[in-house]
Amino acid sequence: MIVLTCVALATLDQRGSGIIDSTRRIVRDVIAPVQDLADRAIEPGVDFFDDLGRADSLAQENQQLRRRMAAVRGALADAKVANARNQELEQLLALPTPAGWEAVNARVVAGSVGSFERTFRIDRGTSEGVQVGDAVAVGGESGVLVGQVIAVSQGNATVRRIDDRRHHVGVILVQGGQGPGARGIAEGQEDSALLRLSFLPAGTEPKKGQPVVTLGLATEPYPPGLVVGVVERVSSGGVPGAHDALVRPATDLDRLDAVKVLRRAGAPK
Amino acid sequence: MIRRIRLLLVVLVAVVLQTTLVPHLRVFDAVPDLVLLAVIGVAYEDGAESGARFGFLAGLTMDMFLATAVGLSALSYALTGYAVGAFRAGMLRTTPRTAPALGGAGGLLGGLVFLAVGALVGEDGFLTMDSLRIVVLAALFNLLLAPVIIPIVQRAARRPAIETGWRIARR
Repeated sequence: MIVLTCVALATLDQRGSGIIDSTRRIVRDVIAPVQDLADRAIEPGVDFFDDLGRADSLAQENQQLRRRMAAVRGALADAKVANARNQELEQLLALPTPAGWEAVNARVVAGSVGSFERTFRIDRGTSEGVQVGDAVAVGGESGVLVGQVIAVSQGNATVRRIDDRRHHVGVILVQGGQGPGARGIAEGQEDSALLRLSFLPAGTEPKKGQPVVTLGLATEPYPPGLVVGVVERVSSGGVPGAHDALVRPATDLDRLDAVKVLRRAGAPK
Repeated sequence: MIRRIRLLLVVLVAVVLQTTLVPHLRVFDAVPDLVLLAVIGVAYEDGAESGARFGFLAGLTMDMFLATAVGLSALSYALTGYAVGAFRAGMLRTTPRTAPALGGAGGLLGGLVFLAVGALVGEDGFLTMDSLRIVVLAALFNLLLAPVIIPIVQRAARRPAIETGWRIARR
């Protein structure tokens, strides 16, 4: 009986059920005040736990830094190229928040609850106008895409990160003044923090360090021009002559603090 | 009645800690599962049927906070609860290490059921080596926390003592 109920519920939820969504919202609303209390209680120790939890990435970061130091010592010219690339990225990061979009500022209060998802919880919900499907970005006047709202209650919302395996977004490769870049889809991967950029037109060869920004299709909840990341590696695609690329997110998604929830102005609430 | 309220409180506390404190303990993409440890504690104390029922309810509550399909945690926790309860019933003798060992084994079983059912209902990317790696890591995490969590839950799940001694009537 339990097995049948669970399989039926899972199948219903996968197909999208209003009853399950409403139940989810009610349960979240009921537990939210206790979560708020717990969040406040554990806040002083959170930095310690976060650093503990980041032990793996800190070790990787340390290794990367060592390699980078050796490379910088070896070739100053490389550093100049890297500097120029950095400036290009900074210019992209200075993209203004697009007109026609509303923004709600929120704070990240917790990361992923389960082992098989890359999500985070923010302290804004339906009472501030946050809705399922809204884009989530960081940056003051700039915009770097970090995720999309997938569940919302009155006082908080869950955001799926762009590196979650179920997240995908239409993107464009920035050419740097050489006309419109190639379009593709950037998707999260289950075994890597890098996004896979695929469905690029045949003949397109992404270059390492090339920035990737949102396309802003009318069917997607993302404004155009939000920075997604930079190309880290290029591999051959599924079709002869086509290439895929691995994209490193433009910001450290494990260290988010303040974010901005974006939705089209005048969209139904 | 009081025992049921205690068990409800166990679910509430475990879910709140899992959604507030545990996300900060993420290592190599894996987090411990306090709710599953609570289910194992109840099953260890009260048997297979109680474990399955409690696992279903606790899992369903947890599902409300996860991005995966509703019912996945409910099923994996219920089956784990049943298996731990059945295993415990077949044991002639327990040692202080039994509960932590069951915490790790139950975590492994729960994770594997979660992946299998998830793949069955259409969750992408569940049947990969990386998912297995995460299940093993989460089970190790549970193994470490089991000696702390399971005894607390066992106390909450304990039924009130009933007078069961024999009396010999005097003639």
